[in-house]
Amino acid sequence: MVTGAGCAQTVSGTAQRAHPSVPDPERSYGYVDNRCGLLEDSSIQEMLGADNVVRPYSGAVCQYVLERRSGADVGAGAPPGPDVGAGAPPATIDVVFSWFETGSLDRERMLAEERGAQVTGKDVERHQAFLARRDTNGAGCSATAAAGHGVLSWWVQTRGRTDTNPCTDAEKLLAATLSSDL
Amino acid sequence: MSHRPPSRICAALVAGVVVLAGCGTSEHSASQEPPAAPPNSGFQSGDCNNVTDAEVAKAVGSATFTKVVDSDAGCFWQENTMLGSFGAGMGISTWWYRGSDMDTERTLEQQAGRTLTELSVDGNKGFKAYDANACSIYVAKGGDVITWSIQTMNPATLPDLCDITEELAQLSQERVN
Repeated sequence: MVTGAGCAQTVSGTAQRAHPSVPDPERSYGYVDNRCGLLEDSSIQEMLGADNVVRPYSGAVCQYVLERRSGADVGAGAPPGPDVGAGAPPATIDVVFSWFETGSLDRERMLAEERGAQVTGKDVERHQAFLARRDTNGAGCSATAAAGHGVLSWWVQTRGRTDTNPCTDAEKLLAATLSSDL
Repeated sequence: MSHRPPSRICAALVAGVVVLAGCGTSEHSASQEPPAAPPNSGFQSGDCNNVTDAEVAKAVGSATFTKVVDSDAGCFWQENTMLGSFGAGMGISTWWYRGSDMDTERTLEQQAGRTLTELSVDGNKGFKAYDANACSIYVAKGGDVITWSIQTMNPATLPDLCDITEELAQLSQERVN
């Protein structure tokens, strides 16, 4: 039998691995019944306070483009209706969902770090997860969690704008997928 | 279903032994899911699967496409023919699936009614799926898939759609293996 002496550093790593990975290991989150990550397009539109949504690409990766007619904060109870003119210009929100059925959280996190994202580990709906903020064509943030046998991620960007916090929206979408009923 | 928990416990025990023996150097052999794809046998790619905006511009000729998405999953260049939200999402995209089955995408493309042709790029197998308004190239390596797609409402104003995505897929594959 091999001794474990001198390997103290390994112990914490092993504990993480042996962590009963995810609460629902047999679950799949792929594109099925016209939904990605178990969410209807209308739910995504509603959660992001957008006026319309299109999904030009669907598969293991789903891409969405959403429009907010005015830049008003919908959460603050802004009145619906046409743009009031002098207000903020319409906002375009890009969303990308990915479901890598044999992917791993470690690989995703390493890649996000390599690309210079600001990474914050956390648990979302009892799943090991992280947020990765990286602005490219606007403020962008992904919320990624170990799920099923793989890894799933929601990325949200306010196109051309950096005065927003897309991590809140990305985490909201991730939590909705992880807590969704089948 | 009821046999699963015991088998997972077994896997965890085996994993513990492996880690002890290697003092943590062979972490990945501690996988708890036997059928999972071996890690790191896929692509080694970067932003936009290592293709530049200038190369995309060259592939589409005189048309204008602007990069608006640059995420960890991949990139999207919007075709500049958008009127309001009409045409949103039309353009060129590339994605890197880090642990995915290409057959799932094959089935989806077949269901979408596209014509499928098998191909190979830089030694990796894949397929293209096309119709009058779209052409996608899928290439797999290990457990990974990289895609290049174009979707447009103006195919007549562009070079052959599959020529565009094949050129981009070729450039990309030369840099991700």
